[in-house]
Amino acid sequence: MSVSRPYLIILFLILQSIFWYGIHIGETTLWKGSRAIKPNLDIVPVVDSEAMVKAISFGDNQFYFRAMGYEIQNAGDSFGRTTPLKNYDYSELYKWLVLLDKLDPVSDYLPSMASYYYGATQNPKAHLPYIVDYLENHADKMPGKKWWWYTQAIYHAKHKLNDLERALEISEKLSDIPKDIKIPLWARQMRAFILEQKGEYKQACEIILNILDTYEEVSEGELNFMLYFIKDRVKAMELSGDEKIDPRCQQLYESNMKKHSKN
Amino acid sequence: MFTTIRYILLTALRDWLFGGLFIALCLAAAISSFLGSTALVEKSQMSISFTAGSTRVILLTGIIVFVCFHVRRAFENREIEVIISRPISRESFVIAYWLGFSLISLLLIAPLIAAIGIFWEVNLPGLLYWGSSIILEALLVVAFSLFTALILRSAVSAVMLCFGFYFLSRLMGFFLFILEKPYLFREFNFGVVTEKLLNLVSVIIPRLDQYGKSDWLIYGINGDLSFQIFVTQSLIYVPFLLLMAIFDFKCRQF
Repeated sequence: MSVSRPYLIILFLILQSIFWYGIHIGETTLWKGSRAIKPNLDIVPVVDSEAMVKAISFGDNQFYFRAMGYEIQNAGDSFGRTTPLKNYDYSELYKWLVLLDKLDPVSDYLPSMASYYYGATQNPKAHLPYIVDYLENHADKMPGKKWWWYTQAIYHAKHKLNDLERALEISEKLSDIPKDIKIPLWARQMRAFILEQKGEYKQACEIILNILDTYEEVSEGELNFMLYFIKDRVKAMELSGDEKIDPRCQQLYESNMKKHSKN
Repeated sequence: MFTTIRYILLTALRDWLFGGLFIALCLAAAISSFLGSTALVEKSQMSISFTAGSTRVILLTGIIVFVCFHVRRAFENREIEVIISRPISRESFVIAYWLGFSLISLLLIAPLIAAIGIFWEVNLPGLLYWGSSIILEALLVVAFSLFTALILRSAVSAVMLCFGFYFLSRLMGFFLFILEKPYLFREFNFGVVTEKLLNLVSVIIPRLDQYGKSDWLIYGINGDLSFQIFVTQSLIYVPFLLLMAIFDFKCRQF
């Protein structure tokens, strides 16, 4: 039996149309049609397990780390779409960041992305706690080398979340970094600034005094700033009159005042 | 022996292996650089890692395909019969073929190592470490490809077996990981048989996951002892595969 070419083409078009549009008899759908099948366009990809990561990396963890880091960087902004950060699932994002950190805890790629890009979310109250937790978690692995991410976590907690308790918690880790590891004095003073914001001037002054006692190599600029800080807080304490001023703070304040009056 | 090595080099030129792989490697490096340049930070590290990872896969895939198809075609065209009709022992024939293919691999890998060193700021000891591991990986893969091409009658089967072997070897770290931490697979029970099988496989298959790690290029060696593993592994496995190939080839009737 021979079938002519036009009939074959018509048959093909009918079959393809059925395949594309689906088969619907009354209210019953036998086949939804291939047009209903769309690529999965999740904003944040589903998080792999640790075992899966080991398998997919094929022994080259660094390659997988960079490839997935890149995917996280572009998540939600692929296939011609752009997604506002408020629509991202930050809990999934947090899991990705923590998982990839296991592959390369040295790189600053992920914390930079988390702090400078994902930290700019339009929904800080709901999203930033994840970023703060991640930055703290990342810096915890190498506090001496990664102190910058503590300061970033403090920044997000203090200025964007207005969570001074959380900022204070992280700033304690900054203060606890061993003395022999060189980090800027302003980072060690961070705790004093937060305490001062909380209105705890006495403790703030004591921290600055402690830094002055502990560190011999303090630049003139830093020294001037610390004296200014003490002077300012002592004045505030005097004005409020409800806190007992540390005698050494008072002494420093007075000597500084005398020096200024001489000038 | 030198004639056979020269013959293999000539066939590589004839089959456009160098040209084809060179273009593929350049494309991979260009795409990697482009992707790296769009990273938020650490653009150079991103490019290095992508280039190292992608070129390694392209090179080894090219080598596997070339070796398997070359040997099978030589059998089909009776080129091998012509070669062994000359005063050359079968042992020398296998060794010469392996040396020829290894030389081709070296000629492909050396410019790649040089290019990575020239175009990116990589850690120099790390580059030497990475380069030597890639060369040893290529020598091992060449030996395996030659062995499979000599024992199997189809080039496609030989290529598939080589890919299987390569991916399995690269997954050895993963197998050992899941054997140690089976609780990571909540819905899957390995059972005694699977566990024993995995253990057996991990004894036989080489640890290729310890070769060619791109983090050496970025962070340097930092006390990494993989060198001992990949050198020892290659010293054990390459002669073993060559001996197997010689044994099989000696038994073959023409």
